[in-house]
Amino acid sequence: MTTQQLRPIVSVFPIKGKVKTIKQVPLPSVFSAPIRPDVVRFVHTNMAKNNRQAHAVSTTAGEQTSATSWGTGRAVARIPRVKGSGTGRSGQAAFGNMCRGGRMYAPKKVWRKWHRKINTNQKRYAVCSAIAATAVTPLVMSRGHRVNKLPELPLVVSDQLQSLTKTRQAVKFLKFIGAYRDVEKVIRTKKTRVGQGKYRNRRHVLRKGPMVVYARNLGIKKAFRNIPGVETASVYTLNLLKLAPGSQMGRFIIWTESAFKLLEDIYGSWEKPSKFKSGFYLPRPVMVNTDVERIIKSDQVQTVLRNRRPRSRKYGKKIQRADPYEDMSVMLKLNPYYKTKLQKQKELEEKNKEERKEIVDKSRKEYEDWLYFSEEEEEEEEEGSDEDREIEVLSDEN
Amino acid sequence: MIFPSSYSIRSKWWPPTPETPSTCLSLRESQLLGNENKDEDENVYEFIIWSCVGENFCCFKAKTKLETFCRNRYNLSGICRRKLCPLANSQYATVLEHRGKCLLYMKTIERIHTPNKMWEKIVLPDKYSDALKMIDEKLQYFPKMTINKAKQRLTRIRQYLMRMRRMKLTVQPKLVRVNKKVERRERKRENRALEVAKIEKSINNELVDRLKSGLYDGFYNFDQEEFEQMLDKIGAKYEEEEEEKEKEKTGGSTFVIDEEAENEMEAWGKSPKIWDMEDLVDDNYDKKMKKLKKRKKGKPKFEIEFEQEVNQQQQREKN
Repeated sequence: MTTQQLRPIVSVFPIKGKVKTIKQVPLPSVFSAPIRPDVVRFVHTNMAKNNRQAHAVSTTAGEQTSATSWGTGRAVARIPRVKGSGTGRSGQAAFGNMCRGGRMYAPKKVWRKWHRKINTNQKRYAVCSAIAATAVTPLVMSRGHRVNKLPELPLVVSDQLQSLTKTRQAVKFLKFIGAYRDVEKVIRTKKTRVGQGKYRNRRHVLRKGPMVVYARNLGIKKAFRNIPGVETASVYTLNLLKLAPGSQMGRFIIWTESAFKLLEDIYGSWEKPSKFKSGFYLPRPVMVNTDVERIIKSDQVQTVLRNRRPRSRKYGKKIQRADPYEDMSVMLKLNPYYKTKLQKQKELEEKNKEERKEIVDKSRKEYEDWLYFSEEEEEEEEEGSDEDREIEVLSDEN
Repeated sequence: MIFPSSYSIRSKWWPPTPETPSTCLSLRESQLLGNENKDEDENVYEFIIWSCVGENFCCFKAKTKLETFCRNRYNLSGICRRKLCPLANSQYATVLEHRGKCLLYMKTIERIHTPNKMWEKIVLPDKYSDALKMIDEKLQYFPKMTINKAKQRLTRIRQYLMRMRRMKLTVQPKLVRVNKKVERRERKRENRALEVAKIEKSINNELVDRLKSGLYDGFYNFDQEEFEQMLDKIGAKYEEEEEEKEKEKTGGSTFVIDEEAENEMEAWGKSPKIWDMEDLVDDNYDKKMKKLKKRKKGKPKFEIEFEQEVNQQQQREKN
């Protein structure tokens, strides 16, 4: 049908020689399943609980005393206290979660619900999403896989890979195809576990490397077993915990050709149900076109909408206005007379300046005149006093 | 019916041209959005990726209190933002530098599924203005923000390259760590070594040895007064000796000893016992020095001669 006709094509690569497409295979419908990180997260968190082992605190812990409260009137807290004497323990508080040597708050019980049931369809939805995400390069990159040198994503490889028996061959293949960089990352970042797990048989922590998915195990499992970070899985039993480790979609997967083809049968499509999961069709997206912004702004929608009501200034956004006193162009827009006003002001100033200058000069001159005049007066006085003159006059007379 | 998903973009025809109108939007709206050339599915694709990557975990995200950074090599500005994320944008471009050459990297949605060939690399010309023109040309149909950021990045890269070149011409001081512990230890050891060496003492011993060996025969630093006193004493002795000699030579004509004759006598080895510094520089001295394995010493600069005594002697003889 149309879907199949329009389905894109994926290249199949050999395991040695040259990195060239030997064959082309149509892309299974699973890769077009909706990518739903919320579904994957929900299913993953619950699935991860399913491999837990029961643990609890001893039922008698903190209870193995015959302590009784002393009651009121003894100037001590009313908590039960250990009976007896002759030992340091006597009189000490017991039983409470706040007491030293007391029982914990809500002691853990073995009959806690350790496992979670998840609806089968939900589980399958999550797996489909996760598989679809493995074909999206940005998602695989964002998960941290080093996939820059790959010839294609999803990476499909000839069935000869399934018959590899030696680890050396497996490593050679990974290097050939450009997937070894991811393995190198794993080797490089191997560390001792932080915390008590290190002496509980969980000493080392490794990153996740590439996952190799096969249809038939003809030795491939053992070949890739010892390579750090690399996991193998059969197509028939793909585990969400491995497809989306940490509920983070986008594991780097290397498919074998037959495994890749089988995906179509295992997960079916929207028209054809799955052959292995009875009655299962691929999940449909809730919305066909999720670009809501675009829908709203489309002509078809906009023509039907009523006109926009005038926005109330009170609750409107603050409009950033340019300051007219900073920007002349804005000022002139608002008040075109401003320019002439400035000019006139300038002229006035200049005129005033001249007038002012005249006044200033005049007053200065006057001041100077006064200065000089006063000096002359002083000199005249110094020359002679009246008495001398009188004497001279007298002498003349004589 | 095709359900749009991450993968359905592959089937559509590409590249788009400005003439092909987008189905959902009017031209003005699409221009406003800046997504003129994008198809529905492309938007959806980007949306999916950003919802997984931007809001949740991304291995390139580096969060700080104020800012979220993107450690992806191809990010235009190093900040984690929807429009700057190289993963969440189907159309993206960056400028990166390799060995002094600026390269324009371009990514389009058709090549996303072949990570090997995802980034198209174009070498930008060395001239700045030409490079800017090339960016304009190559990123014609890219959003304006990308073009601006690419140009800004190019400018920055060129600036730091210039700085690098300038720095290479100068000599950069090499900063060396001061290891407190080591420094402290070494200083203490030096002091201790100095103490243990006992330099002054060894020098002292050496000099005494030399003295004993006879190197410094007569090489004494005396007070001048003392020295003259000594000379006087020795001069008196010499006179006595001379008188005795004269008494022995009776009945013979007395000869005046010329200076030349004196010299000859000296040469023959019959040198009078005069405190002459020159005498002290004898052949034996060198041998002695060699014995002690020391450097040869040059002739002393000054000499003391008993001219007075000789004159007295001459006078007496004349008389």
